[in-house]
Amino acid sequence: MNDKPAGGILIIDDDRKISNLLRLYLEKKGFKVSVVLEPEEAEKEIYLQKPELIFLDYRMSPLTGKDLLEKIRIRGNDAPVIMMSAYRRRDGDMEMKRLGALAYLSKPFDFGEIESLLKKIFPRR
Amino acid sequence: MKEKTVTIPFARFERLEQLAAVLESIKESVVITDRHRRIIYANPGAERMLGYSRGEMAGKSSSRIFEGIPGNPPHLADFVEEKADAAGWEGEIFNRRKDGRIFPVALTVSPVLDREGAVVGYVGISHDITRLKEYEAARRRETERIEAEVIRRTEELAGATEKLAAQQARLDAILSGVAEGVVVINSDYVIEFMNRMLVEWYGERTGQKCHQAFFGRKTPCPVCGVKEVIEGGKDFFRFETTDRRKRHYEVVATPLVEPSGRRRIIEISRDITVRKKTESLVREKNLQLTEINQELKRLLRVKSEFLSLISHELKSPLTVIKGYLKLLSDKQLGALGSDQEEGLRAALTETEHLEYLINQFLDIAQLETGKYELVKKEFDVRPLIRDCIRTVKESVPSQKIRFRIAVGKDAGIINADKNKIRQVFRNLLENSVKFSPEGGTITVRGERREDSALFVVEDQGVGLAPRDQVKVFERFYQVSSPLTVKHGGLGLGLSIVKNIINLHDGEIWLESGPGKGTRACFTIPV
Repeated sequence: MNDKPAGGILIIDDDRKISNLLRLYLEKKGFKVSVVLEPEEAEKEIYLQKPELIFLDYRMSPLTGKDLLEKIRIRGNDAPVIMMSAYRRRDGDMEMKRLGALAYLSKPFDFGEIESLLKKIFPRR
Repeated sequence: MKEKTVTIPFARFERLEQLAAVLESIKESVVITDRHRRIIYANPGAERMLGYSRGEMAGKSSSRIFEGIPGNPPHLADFVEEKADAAGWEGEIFNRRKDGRIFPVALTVSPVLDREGAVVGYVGISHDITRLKEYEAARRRETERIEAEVIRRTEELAGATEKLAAQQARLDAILSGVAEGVVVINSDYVIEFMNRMLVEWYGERTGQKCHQAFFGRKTPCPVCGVKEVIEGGKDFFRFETTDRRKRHYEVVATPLVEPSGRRRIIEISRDITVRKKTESLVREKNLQLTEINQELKRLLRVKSEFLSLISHELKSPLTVIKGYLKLLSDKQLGALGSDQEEGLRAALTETEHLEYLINQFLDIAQLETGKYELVKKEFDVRPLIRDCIRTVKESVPSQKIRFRIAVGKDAGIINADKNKIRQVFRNLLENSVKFSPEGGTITVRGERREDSALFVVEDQGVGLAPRDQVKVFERFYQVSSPLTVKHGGLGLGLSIVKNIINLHDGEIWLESGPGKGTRACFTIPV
């Protein structure tokens, strides 16, 4: 994995306000960030942008974050994914692990938690 | 005394010879005496019977042979002679053989008369009746035995008859006392017996056809005890039926077989009308319950969907609010004046509190629907306790409270859902902090018991009245105290804790008293 954030972070969440907040936070941290609001477009963007990290919302329509993750994993994409959800953390943990998500991030965000995840993914930054 | 010479004509002589030959050959004993009982003739039959030879007997007194024999009357010879003189005598006496053996004989004594009719001697004909006597004795014994047997049997029969009568009386009492209807029906469907209960139900119907009497039918019923038991040969046939009065019965038919082989049936009927009605009612209620159950399931689903909606719809805006407040107050979006900073910090604190309340609400809802599944694993609870204390301390930096941990290694390792146990310690510690005085100490103790680990979170706070110690575990229950007013909350914390501990099959309780501090104790089975 490239330690430079140049490959960028992709946020996939159909909630524009939340996506913007997260983008703002990540950009302030110096990351290059793109946002996809339509889950149907997400897969295409993943292949085009080749992000180094994906923030993926669990609950989207018509395609859920879980469906999307399954889809990209089947096609061999192993980009690190942080699954976001307003559901309680415990419900998601097991399932996310099964699907190969790196971490599970509950909403509302704890920026401290995001920061430690970023440090783990990009240790030399 | 000079003997008289008798001249006998030839023809007569020939006859005499024939007679003599007869006397010589017959089985019976023939002894002829003169009138002084001296034996003048004894035939071979007499020799065989008495064991004396004719020579030994000739001239001897016949009476000496049977006189003095036990069983014979005294002076028997005189008596016989007297009788014989008149018209002859016959009777049974005992005689004695030469070898001393005594035996019974049938004796006929007839006088021998001369031409003038004077007795000149006697003819005694006797017959050994030993066998006859034995036979008679045997017959007598047999007769006695039979008589005794007849008496015994008669007594037995009398006893049996009495017993039978008692049994009959008892049976009558039972049959008329039972709540079931009892009927005996023969192979022609004719009622031979009805007990009192059945008579009460249908009136006296003995002699009528059962299908007519009970069901108003001209032909036998489609389901019929007579057919099944008598024709079908079943030993037991149970069926349910409804009579012409629309009452329901459970009937058990069994065979009643006479020694002659003639079969009848006995039917015992129980009125199950009430049971049937109850069953129908129960069925109806069950149907209603099923509907209610389905409705409850639907409501549960609605509740679950509602929870999901709350999660999303409340938390999404909260994410945006909290996120921007955090970015603002961390000055990531520009410098702030002190008033702005203070205002933003207050807004952030309240937002975090709102998040905490929503989480509590979701927790209790999830725990109470029973949908929560524990993810158990073995872990050391001590680092987790330290972690919780750190977090709680950070949330009340101004309060000067000391924390102590006294958990031994043996109690520290537990098999439980780590995240949920974290929640338990967080809740209990936050509660203790809320009610602790300035400078107080909160102690977390742990000890290993026989089949569980016991944990205690102990404070030196205001304590709880006994009434509150149980009530605090109820949802939305708030202890009425100025401190509660100060700290607010939904009153869900301890209810969540109790649910989590119960999910682990553990127990939780409080030990406290007003002014004595509070000990929150719980166990986790090991």
